[in-house]
Amino acid sequence: MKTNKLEKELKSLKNLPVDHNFLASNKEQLLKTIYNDPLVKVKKEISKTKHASFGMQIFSLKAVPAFLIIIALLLSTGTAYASQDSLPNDTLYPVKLLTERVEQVFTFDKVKKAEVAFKHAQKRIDELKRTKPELLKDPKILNRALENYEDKINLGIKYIKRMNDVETTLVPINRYDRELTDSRKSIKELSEKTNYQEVNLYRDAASDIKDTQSEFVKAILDKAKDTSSLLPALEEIANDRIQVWENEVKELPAKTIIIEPNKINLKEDAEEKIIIFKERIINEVETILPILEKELNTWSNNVDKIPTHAYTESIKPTKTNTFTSDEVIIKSDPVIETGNVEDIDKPRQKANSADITPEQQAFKDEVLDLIKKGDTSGALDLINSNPGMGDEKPSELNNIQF
Amino acid sequence: MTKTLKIKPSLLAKINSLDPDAFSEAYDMYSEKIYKYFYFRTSSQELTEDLTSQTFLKAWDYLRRDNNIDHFASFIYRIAHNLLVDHYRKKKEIHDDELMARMPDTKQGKDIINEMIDRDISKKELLSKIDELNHDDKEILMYRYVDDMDFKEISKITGKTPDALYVKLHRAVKRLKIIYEN
Repeated sequence: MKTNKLEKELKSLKNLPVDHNFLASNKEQLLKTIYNDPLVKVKKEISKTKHASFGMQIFSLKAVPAFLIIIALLLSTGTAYASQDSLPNDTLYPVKLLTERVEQVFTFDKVKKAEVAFKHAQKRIDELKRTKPELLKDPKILNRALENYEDKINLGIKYIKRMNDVETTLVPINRYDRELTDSRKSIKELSEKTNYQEVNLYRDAASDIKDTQSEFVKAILDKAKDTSSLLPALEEIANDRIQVWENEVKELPAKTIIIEPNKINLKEDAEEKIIIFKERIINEVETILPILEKELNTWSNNVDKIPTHAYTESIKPTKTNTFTSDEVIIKSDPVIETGNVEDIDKPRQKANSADITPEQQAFKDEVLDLIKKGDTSGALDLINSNPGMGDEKPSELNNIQF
Repeated sequence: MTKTLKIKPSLLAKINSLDPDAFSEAYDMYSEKIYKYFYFRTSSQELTEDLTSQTFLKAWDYLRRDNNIDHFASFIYRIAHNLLVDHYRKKKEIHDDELMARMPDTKQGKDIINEMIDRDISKKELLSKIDELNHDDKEILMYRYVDDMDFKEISKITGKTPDALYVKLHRAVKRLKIIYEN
């Protein structure tokens, strides 16, 4: 075949028939959607008014969204304007929240609605950072901001859940996820500012944000089932989690062991898991991310049970405890258990008396095991052959006749 | 017949200012092209209709987010391309580089194309020969002859220079000719 003839044949390909009925009905549907777009409707209204009254040039609503016009009107009143810098303890604070609600209501697009919700949530954290430390001890002030924070995040997640595939791809998922991580960090820092006076309140707040973040990730994972374009974002989230985990691990002493229930060395435990997760993120992020979230949360909860003073103690060991500079052994945290902040010092007392070391625990388990098997003489032999361990003789042995 | 008109700057300005009538005009100019773009690459009428519809909705959605389009043709083809890639990624069993190869490759695809061109044996033969080419060759032939784009337009979509594309097309036609001769 000659080249010219071939090119002629190739050019004829564009003349293959198309379904014109479909194109016509699709156009009808498309135009119906477009003409019903709130942005187009409002624009038309304004266009009519402007032409009829002043013959002025139509301004673009794309540049001036409807909510800005209303907020501008609201802010033209001195009170609303003045409220914009208010903090949760200020009387004008509710006015500020009202203007935000207006902005939320008059944002019509789901992607932007989510953006506005996350923006407002971020403002709550910034406000708390600017609030005086002594005021942060007031649960009312704290709750005012934190409850609103959570409402806004949940609202943002709600809009994300309602989005279609195309809309979801436009959401800056990683940015929102990082903001949530940063918020948790900020809450922890604020908790330190208050000298533990409201330790439970802050702990609950950080835990709530953690739950909300899991809910956010869950929503994105659900969306990822329908659109693979979200996978890179999920991989980034997974890598961010690993990074956070690695940073937290770095801050722990080398041997941070939770004795109860399973003698976990938190540092080693995390290091091992991080290696496994890193390897599997690339190809299996949808499966791995929920597991990673769960593991990290469980691990963080265990770390949270460690009173901060235990770290200090591990750096300055005394003659009476068994800690070295790079280890800290935690049995339990009475503050968590009783909810009483006055119990904050109790772990220190327990730690100083050093009830039992991992080696002693292993010894105790071995002896009890022999007793359970009915081998009491074996248990006795074991005790006699480990005189150093005898000091921590299991209480259960008191009732045993050797 | 595919319209070869290009969007004039005045119409583009109206589209950018969210004028529904202007957008409707752009639809008239490009819907057929986009339809064919998907038809040749998916061999499925149902999928073609779905993706064509999504392409224009996504274009509108982009506009209403304070964005402006500089070049409508490359913009609309870029959306179409992304949607197609996204669609195949979703179907994990089909890899990205199989996109073009799929065109007349499956039995179903062949049936549809056969039905479509059953009165024209030369076109049928031509498509089966094109199918023997590699991905890049098929792509340039599709853009140039099926989508009826000039080199500038293809350049905006592929990121390759018009000169390089010209050479590429020339080589693709040459290779197609060799297949014919063999």
